[in-house]
Amino acid sequence: MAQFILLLKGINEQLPGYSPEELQKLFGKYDAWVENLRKRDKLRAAQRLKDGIGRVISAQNGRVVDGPFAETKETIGGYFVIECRDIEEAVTYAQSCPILLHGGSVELREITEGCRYS
Amino acid sequence: MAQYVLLLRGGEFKQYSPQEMQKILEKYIAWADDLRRRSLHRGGEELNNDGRILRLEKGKIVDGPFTETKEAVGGFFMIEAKNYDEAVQISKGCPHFNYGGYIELREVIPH
Repeated sequence: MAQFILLLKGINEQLPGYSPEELQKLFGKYDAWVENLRKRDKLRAAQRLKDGIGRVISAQNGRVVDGPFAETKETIGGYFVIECRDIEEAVTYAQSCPILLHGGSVELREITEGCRYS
Repeated sequence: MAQYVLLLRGGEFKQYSPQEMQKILEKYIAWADDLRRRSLHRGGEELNNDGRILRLEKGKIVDGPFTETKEAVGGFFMIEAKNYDEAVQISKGCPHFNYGGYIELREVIPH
């Protein structure tokens, strides 16, 4: 078994146009999707990241500086870690992620085995 | 205390020999160990270079290859800090800046 991370991008795309009822329905879809992952014992971790605020830290002319973070369509709004046989199986779960229904995308990446940072 | 994710983006490592890479890896590990000693470390993983991008196109969900760019996330750390200022100070010690990389620092929404 291998672990995969699903980076959910553009989480706020199209959402401003949704009515409270539509939003409620969409959240229900996320709940059902997560429940399915849990039932199959695939889910290992999940977290949502705050929108709009953040920092970008980089080295400029040999000095480490920090600047504001700007939200874009590619901004990561949250992530899920799942356990699957291989990337093909992981794709089947990622394909049913509700973010794909409201203008977002999923970046699916395998976690390097035996990493010593964890 | 709040939790923060450090998304390690970019970084150029192609020019290093396996021996040099080993030394670089040890620098990241030493940094993670230092975070552990200070009880700030909450997790971290490295990501493989291959992957997929899934999106909806013309009503159909398609999965395409993930292409590595200068902005690609190569790994991440989770830390605990009082606030953004403290999280920024902690992040500045990461070895990633010595290899052309940068860090996107984001606060986690507690659930």
